[in-house]
Order: sequence, then C-alpha cells, then structure tokens
Amino acid sequence: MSSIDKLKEAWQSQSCGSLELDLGRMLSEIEFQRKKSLYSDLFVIFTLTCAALFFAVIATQDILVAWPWYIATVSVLFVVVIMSRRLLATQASRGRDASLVQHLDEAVAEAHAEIRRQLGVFWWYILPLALACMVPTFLMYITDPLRGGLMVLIGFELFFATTFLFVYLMIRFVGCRDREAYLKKLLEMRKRIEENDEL
Amino acid sequence: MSIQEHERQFRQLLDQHTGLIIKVVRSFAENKDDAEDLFQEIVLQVWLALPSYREEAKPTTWMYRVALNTALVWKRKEKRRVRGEEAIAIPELISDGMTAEEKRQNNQIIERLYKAIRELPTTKRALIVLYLDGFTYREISEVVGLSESNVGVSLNRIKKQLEKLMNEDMS
Repeated sequence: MSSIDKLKEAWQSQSCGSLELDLGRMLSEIEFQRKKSLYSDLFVIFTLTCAALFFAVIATQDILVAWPWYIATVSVLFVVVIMSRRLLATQASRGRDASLVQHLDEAVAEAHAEIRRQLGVFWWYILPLALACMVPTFLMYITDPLRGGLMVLIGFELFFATTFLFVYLMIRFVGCRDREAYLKKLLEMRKRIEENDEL
Repeated sequence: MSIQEHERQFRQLLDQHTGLIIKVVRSFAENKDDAEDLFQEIVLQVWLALPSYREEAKPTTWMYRVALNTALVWKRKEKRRVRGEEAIAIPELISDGMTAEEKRQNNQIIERLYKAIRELPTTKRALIVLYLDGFTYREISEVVGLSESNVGVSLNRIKKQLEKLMNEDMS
C-alpha cells in the first residue's frame, strides 16, 4: 500500500454523528440579517424623502428668495430614486452548486460589480447630496446677502465640502480596500487555474 | 418546494453529510474561530442552494460542490456573528472500529494530513479533499469544472507535494 493510499484510508476512517443544529435559530438569523439590511435602506430613503419635502416647503414659502432650495429638493430626490431602484433590483444569486471554476468566475464578476458600485457612490450619492447642501447655501447668500456675512458662507461651504469629502474618502479607501484585496485573491486563483499552474 | 419539505431535505442532507462539511472546514480554516465561521457559512449556503437541488444529482457530489465553492470564495469576517454564534456546534470527527492505540496513531496521521493540506494553495486543497474521499477523476472533474486529464495531471502533482509535506512534518 502506497503512502497516499494510507492517507486515503486514514481520511476515510473519519466519521461523525448527526449535527446538533438549531434550525429555527439559524433561520431567524438569516431573516434578521435580511430585515436589518432592508429596514436600514428604507430608513435612509424615508429620511431623505422627508428632507426633500422639507426643502420643497421652504422653497415654496418664499419662492422669490428661497427658490435655490428647489435645487436641494431635486438633488435629494435624485438620490432617493437611485436608492429605491437599487433596493427594488433583484440581485442575481450566485450559482452555489455550480462547478468550482464557474463559481469562481461568478464570484469575480460579483466582486467587480461591488467595487464599481462602491466607486459610483461619489456620482450617485455623495455629489448630489453635497450639491443639495452647498448650492442653495451659496445661492441664498447671493439672493439675500443680509442673512450672513461672507465668512459665515465660506464656513458653511467648507464644513459641507469637508464632511462629504471625508465620507467619500472613507468609502473609497476603507470600504473598497477589503473588496479590492478579496478581488485580487480571486483573480490570482483564476489566473493560476488558467495557466494550469495551481490545479 | 414547501417550507416543511425544504426543512426535511435540509436536515436529511446535513445528517448524512456533516462529516463532509467538517472535512472541508478543517482543510480550509486556519483556526477555531475561522472554522466555526466557515462551518456556519457552508450550512447557510446549503440551505440557500437547496431549492436548486435536483434529485438526479448525487447528494455527496452536490454537497461537495456547495461546500467547496463556499470555502473557496469565503471571506474571513473581521467581526464574527454574534446572534447566530451558538446556533451550530461543530461536532468532532472520530475514527470508528479501532483500538485505542490505533485511534491515537490514526488521529496523528489525520492531524498532520490536515496541516499539510492547509499548506497547499486553496484550489489544490479542493482537489485533494475530493481525491482523499474516494472520488474518481471523472467525478472530481464534474465538481471543479476542469477536464478529466487536467484533473489527473494536477492530482499527480498534488499527491507528490502532499507526500513531501507529510514527510517534512514527520522529520
């Protein structure tokens, strides 16, 4: 008997009893995770919708002076629409029982898509929300300079710009870092299979 | 498929293939925390994949596909699950029908074998686990999605590498 056959024999000698599985608890965990994600998205959509309505009301009250708030309304509604579309879009599930190579390809495609979504955050979410805050503030100052001095305006604009830039950089460099490392790992695996090196 | 039928099939599959999942987990996870996390992940993926299970597929092959696919693209979690942490306890694998001394020796070999497997690159681990469990080259090629000849060539290389790792460990 060769040494690999001995290893095979030892490997196959392993056995175990039935699994003590709390199925109810596991299913409630799956349901909890799904609901948590859904409700957090719904909460953000609801909050942004309220903010858009609030801006619209402000703009309507004194349309000649407060019209820039319509820009904020449109920008925030844009984000609401994008978020709602993302929420409604059914995500294609990965073939869990596909072959290993096929599954790896799907995982690579999924990781690419996730990174693209993450990078698109700036255009689809951060920029519209930054415009919703910064443009009306600036236009309100132009329309009615008595509301505050130039320094106050610059202060507000700098505050908004810094906040949104910080959020963007966090998403870009902290959020994407893990995903990029994961994608790199998958791509390396795929490349080795292609080159018939690893397998 | 009704939810009761889904649950029944799920329990049946798990009861019959817990050992298979543990073998995959021990071949891929480096430590106890990772092992628990990967184990939960595989069980979860089996549950989610079950609606696509067709009776004509051999259950062991199907389970291996799901388990190995999960292990291969599994991401270590920075923060482990809290709520579901105690939902599953990983049982120990035992070797039946042996004397105490035989068991001790067998366990030593198995421990070294797992250690050697974990030193292999991830895709190689998948092939050797299937081979050790008695899968034919054709069955392995179905699970991994490569040609039979490719699997044969790769396995010859992996077997040599594994033997070398085992010998290094012994010396």
